[in-house]
Amino acid sequence: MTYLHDSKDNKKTLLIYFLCLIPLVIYGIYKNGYLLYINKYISFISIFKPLILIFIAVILTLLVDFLFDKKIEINYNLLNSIIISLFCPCNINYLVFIIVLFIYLLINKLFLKNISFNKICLVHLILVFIMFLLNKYSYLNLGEVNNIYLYNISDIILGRGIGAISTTSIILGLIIYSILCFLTNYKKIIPLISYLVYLITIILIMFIQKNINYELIFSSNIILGFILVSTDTLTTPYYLKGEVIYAIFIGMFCALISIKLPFEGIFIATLIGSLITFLFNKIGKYLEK
Amino acid sequence: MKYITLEKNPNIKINKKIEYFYNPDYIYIPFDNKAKINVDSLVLKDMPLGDGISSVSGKILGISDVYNKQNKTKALVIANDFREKCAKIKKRKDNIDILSLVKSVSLYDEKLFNIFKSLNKVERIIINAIDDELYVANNIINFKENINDVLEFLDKLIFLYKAKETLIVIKNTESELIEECLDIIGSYPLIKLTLLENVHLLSQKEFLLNKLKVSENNTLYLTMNDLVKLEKIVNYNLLDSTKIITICGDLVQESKVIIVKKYTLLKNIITKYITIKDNNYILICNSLINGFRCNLDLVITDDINVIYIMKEKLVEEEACIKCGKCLSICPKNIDIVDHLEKNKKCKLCLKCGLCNYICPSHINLTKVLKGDD
Repeated sequence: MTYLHDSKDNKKTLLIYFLCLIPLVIYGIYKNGYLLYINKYISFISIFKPLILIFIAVILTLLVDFLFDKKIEINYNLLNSIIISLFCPCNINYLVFIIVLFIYLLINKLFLKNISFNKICLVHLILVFIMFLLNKYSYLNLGEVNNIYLYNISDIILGRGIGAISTTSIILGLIIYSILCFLTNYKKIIPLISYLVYLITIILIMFIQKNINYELIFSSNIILGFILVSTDTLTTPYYLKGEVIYAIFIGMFCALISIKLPFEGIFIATLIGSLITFLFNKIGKYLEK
Repeated sequence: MKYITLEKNPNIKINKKIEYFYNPDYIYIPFDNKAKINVDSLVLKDMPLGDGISSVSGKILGISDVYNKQNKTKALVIANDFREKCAKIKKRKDNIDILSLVKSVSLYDEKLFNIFKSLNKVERIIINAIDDELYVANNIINFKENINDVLEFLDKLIFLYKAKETLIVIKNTESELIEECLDIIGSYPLIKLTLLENVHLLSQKEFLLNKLKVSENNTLYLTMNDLVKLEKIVNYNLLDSTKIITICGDLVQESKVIIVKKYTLLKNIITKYITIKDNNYILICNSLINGFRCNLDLVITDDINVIYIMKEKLVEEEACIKCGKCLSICPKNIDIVDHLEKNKKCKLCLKCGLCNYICPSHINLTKVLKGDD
């Protein structure tokens, strides 16, 4: 029997993840809530949209867990739902969010439990597609729609740039990354290598096209996507060399797609990468031996 | 291979003060149920009896049910007459030669005999005084108790085998012993003390030799307990009728190291020496990561090193998150995630328990790999 276990278990890991995401939410409330409120673009309640989305995600996940398993527990499903809510566009419709998330959670419990792929990416792409169909696809908040801002590099890095509802700050993203690196479960090599490969590829493409776009080089969505979305433990390789190959793949793919779809490139690349994780594991196993 | 240090509970401290339990009223020697028993027949100390060798003199009272490790078995109950009358053991000459050495151990300890039987040329001697298990320092304590005799005997072995290198390996956290050793070991220039970091699995031969980067060929490897046993057999014609055990845990008032007579019942030891803080406890034998649950009717044999008296705790198994930590820690580089997915066993598994320890989902991975708990 094993009586003694390492103290760094799932519950501790998830707790650290949740604590790390708080600054992102607070900044999201500030940038896409408070600043718009004081300029009279939105109502008082709308300031807290990032928090409301998280609240909805938590309630729906726990409800579905309770319906199927008759128990409420903190697990990676909850973390995934919260991350989905963080990466939503600013003008996401509450009803669309609730319906899509609820249907996903039900289908996941019934049919997708044993199928391994990055579900955060799938749900996000579905949400964005529905917004596109409703003619509401945009990552601009109301202030950005009505005004033209000339963002420089420091604006983008500090979080004043265009992005999802809670993922505009690169500085906060880097702080989160450095904290998560202390978790032994966290596959820290993936964001590092994937962003490096992405950077090299995107600069090469821009060089060929003779069009430098700083918003693509310092995209908060992409950086935070590599940190939070592409490192999902369940759908990433578990051999170190497999992780490296996976990171190179998604970095390159993300760069190629981001030219046309700057906000969705990371999700499409990660989704495809997660579907062929078994290949990366096989290659990783072969290389380790 | 990645070596790790197991996490300790700071409230459990090793008490290195030794207690002695040399006078149990009864001892219980496991035996084959089919053998014929003569109740009331006299028993001498060091007499082969049942599955072992009697550690006391007295008489056979009858048969009782006990636990020999995890198995319930019948045992001969011997009432101690406290006279320590010994059976005659073949006398050895004072001069040690290799053949005498081998012959002297062969009758009493097959394991030691096998170590020496296969030896041809010895280039180095390695004595392992490391205990992997948490809060245990039996090898060190045994060394400390017999330091002068052991070092003198080891010196003779070096001379006998003309070994070029002799190392006694201990953990660098055993500071008290290190200090004591430095005073005495200086008199033996051929014996070196090697300090290794406090990581798991170094009590096993394969991993210690790997860590020291030495080959198994032409190496005489002994644990400190084996060396002490051998020294007693060769020098004093004494069989080892005692065992050092550590009893500790988060429900133990004061951890103790006790030298007991072999085949004593655990119940009798705990009643005499241990104060348990709470009745809601479990007993774990030998290791907190790959030991086994035992009960008070456990008989202390050569295989028992430590008894943990711990609070019962419920650990829920969760689904595998494919973090790969088990893979990185496995000393045999088994693809544990793959074996778990396909629910297939693995012959290479050592049952060291490190994968179970490190798994954040608390999955019993050795159960999958070996097919038993």
